Amino acid sequence: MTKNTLLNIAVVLCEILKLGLVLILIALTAFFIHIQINKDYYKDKELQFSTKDYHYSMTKKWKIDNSMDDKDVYTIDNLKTGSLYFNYLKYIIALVLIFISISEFQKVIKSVKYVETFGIKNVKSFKRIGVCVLVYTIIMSYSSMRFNLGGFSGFGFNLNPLILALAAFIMAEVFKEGNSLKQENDLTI
Amino acid sequence: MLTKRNMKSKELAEIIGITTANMSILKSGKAKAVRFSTLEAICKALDCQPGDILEYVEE
Repeated sequence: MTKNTLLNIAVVLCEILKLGLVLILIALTAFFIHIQINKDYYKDKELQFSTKDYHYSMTKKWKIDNSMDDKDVYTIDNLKTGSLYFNYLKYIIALVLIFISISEFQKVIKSVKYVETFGIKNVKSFKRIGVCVLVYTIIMSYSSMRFNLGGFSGFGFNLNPLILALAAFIMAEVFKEGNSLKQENDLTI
Repeated sequence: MLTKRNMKSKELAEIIGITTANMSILKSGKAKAVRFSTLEAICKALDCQPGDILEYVEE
C-alpha cells in the first residue's frame, strides 16, 4: 500500500508539472503575441544575459555604437523580429521536449504501479527520455539575440541534462536486461 | 504419453496446477525451462519417468 501511495503521489506530481508546462507555454505565446502587438509596452525593459548555469560557455556581446548605454540597446522593444521568432521557437521546442520526457516518465511510474515494470514499453520510454533530454541540451546550448543596435550570441553547455540523458540511456539498457529476464521467467513452466 | 493415458492436455493442466496457456507453451516447445516441481507433477500424473516425456533434438 505504501508503495502504491508513493507511486500515486509521483503520478500526480507529473500531472502537475505537465499542467505547469502547458501554462508556461500559453504564457510564452501570449507574451510573444503581445510583444508584436504592443512593442512600446516593453520600452526600456532591458534583457539580461546570464551564463552562470552553464559549465562551459563562450559568449559574444556587441553594439554598433560602444558609447551607447546597454539600457538603450538591449531592450525587448529593440529585439529584431527574426530573433524574436527564433527564441520563441527555441523555448517552445524545449518546453515540448520537457513535456514529452515527463509524460514518458509518468508512463514508467504507471507501469510500475500495475506491476508491468519490465515491459518493453519502458525500455522505449527511457530511450525517448534520453533522446529528448539530449536534443534539449543541444537546443539550449545556443543562444542568440539580435537587436536593432547590437546583439548577443553565446554557446554554452550545461552538464546536468547531459548526465540525465546518459542516466536515461543506462536505465533503458537495465530495463532491456530486465525484460529479457522477465521473458525467460514467463517461459519457465 | 497423453494419448497412451487417454488424457486431454486440459485435464493434465488441471491436475498439475498450471494454466492451459502454459500447457500450450510446454507442448509447442517454446518453454525456456521446466521447474523440477512441474516435471515431478507431470510424471506423477502420467505415471512415467522424465525420460518418457523429454527428448533431446540436435538443432
